[in-house]
Amino acid sequence: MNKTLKKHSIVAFILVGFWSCGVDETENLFDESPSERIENIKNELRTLLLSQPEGFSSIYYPNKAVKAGYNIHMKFNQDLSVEMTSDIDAETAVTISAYDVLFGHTAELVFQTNNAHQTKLVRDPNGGPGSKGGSNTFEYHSNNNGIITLLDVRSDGILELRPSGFVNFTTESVASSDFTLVAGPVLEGTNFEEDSRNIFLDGDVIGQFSYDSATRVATIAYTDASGGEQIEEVRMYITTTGITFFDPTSINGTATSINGTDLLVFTYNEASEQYIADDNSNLIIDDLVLCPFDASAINGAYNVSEMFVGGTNGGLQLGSFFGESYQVDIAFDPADPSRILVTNSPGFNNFIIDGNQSTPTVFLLDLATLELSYEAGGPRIALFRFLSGASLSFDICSDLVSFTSNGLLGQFGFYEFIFTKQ
Amino acid sequence: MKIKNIFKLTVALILPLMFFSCDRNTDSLTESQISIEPPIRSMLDIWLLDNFVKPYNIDIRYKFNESDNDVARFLHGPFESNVRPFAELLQKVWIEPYNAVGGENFIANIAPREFVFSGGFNWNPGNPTITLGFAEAGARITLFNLDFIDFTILDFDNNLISYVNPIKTVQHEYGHILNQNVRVDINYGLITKNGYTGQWFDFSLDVARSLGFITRYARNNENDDFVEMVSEMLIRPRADYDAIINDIPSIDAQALLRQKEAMVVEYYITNFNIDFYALQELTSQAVIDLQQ
Repeated sequence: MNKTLKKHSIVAFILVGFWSCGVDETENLFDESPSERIENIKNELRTLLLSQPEGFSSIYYPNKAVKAGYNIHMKFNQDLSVEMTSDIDAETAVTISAYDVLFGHTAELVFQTNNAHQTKLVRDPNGGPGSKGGSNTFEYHSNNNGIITLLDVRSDGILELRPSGFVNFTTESVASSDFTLVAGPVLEGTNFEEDSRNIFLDGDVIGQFSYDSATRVATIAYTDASGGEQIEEVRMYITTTGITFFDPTSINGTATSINGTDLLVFTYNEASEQYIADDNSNLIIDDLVLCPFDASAINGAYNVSEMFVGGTNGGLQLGSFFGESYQVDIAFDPADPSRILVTNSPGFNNFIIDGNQSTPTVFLLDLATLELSYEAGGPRIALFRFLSGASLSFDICSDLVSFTSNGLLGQFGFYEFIFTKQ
Repeated sequence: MKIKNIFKLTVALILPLMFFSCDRNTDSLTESQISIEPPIRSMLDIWLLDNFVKPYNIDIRYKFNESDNDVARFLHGPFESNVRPFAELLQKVWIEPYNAVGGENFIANIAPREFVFSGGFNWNPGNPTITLGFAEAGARITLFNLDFIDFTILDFDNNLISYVNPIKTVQHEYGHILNQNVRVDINYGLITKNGYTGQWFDFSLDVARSLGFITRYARNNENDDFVEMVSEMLIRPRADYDAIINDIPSIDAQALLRQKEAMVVEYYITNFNIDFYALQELTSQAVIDLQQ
């Protein structure tokens, strides 16, 4: 027994010894080390970003659930700086900021410092109105014939980069951003967004198309074969030459995937003032109904609707809280048509005084762009707090003219008021 | 030959063979895969390297990196033009005063090894507050809102864009760093032990002070209470601080705050050999000097 045990022990010992040596024999599945492969993946994206000396024109949809998209022009440089402009708002100057290509799950484009364009879309959706919930980090998804697709995993956003085609990025990108902001020179002099155009196919109306510049959402409506009213919001963006549908869609049975492409590009024809599909010249968006700017419609008394629109005070109305009622009178300054004067109506509580705590509060109107701003900065609301960072806009196309402003009211959260003409 | 000897001989012959057979794989150790390529540095990066990394071993991280932040927060890097002014702010209101009073290597010896600069507001989900900054494990201080700060506004109250805010945040967070090196006397938390609440933001400053707290946030817990005392004293001259205390209607509350103040002063002199009032004189003057 003792001998047998020793023999078996020796055999087992030898086997274990050789086995332990054997596991150290590794098989190389890749020709390159992991760090080299990671670097290669990053270099692939770096090379693509640097491949366009005059940059890219990109469309950015910050959130999958929202149809609003933004045109952002960006030019990537070797020194990890990126030049950028956009149509996000009226500030279209080219900025220079930092970017890098990092590695997370895959190669990622990261905008590392504030660029005053894409960064504006990176705001907490719960932090106040107008927040877009965008991101700074985009995973490289694909390169399809020079169109680079990057995805934001957190918000399901999508950033698509196309070669800009510019000869001079600095001048042409700004010009492009300027006109996309007001729907472009192809739409110059029109108020494209407010009213529907008919969509024609082979001379027949197959639906209606509208675009709201405030929400940046395009809508297609049509009556289907069974008589049902179909209304669909679609992702669309304005280009230097017209408009482009971002996702494949269909207009009353006419698919936007034509000739093998998923994009339906409409080019504006200046002579006929029509948008004509590149892939089907019989598919036309036409019949714009203009919304004329009627200054006389602005003067008058306005109801005041107001409340906090975020945080724990969301829904709270100052009027209810203070037991007050508000109404304002609005009229153009007879001496200066660019000044709109807002006064608290007699018999009502004090709702608005200007940033210098005097009245009237003056809304400055840019007669070229029809944009509004506060002459004396954020106003004081209900003699309570100043409205900081306040936006100001108006709607002159609806039946009832209205003015809307929102901003941060002291430390109490985001607050919005709407003046609606009586 | 006995079986025992055969066994010994067999083992003696096989063992070297086994080691030899294993030895053939030693060549598999190849060059390091870690890249030693120097990063691309801007002029700003070089300035930060010379003024923070080399003298203090402190890295100022201003370039957005997802792993530096809570992915659920919507944050972004600051404008590059705002980075150096804030780095200089750190030098003037924090590094230079502490080194002057605590010794030339005080900050080099006890400091967070990283500052993270963030450009936007860090909104707290579920309540109407924002986080101004935080300290992590004695190693990192993160500051938010840098792109919204106005160096012309010297306001000690609730003005979100006053440049006093980040200074107060730094003094607050560095207080935590010091506390993570040397604990505060546990008796400090007993002075107003019944006043602490996680719902501190539901109560006014007057209520907080009437209970013996220097700020609303000081009611969060005894750790924040201590560093709120530190920061509130360091951002303003002693006379201004005394005026705040003396204006509190409750004599009892005044006494509680004076008791806390004494423990702060004692903590600094005992553990760091720092005359707190001398430090206060330097830091508060730096705050005033920074106004543009």
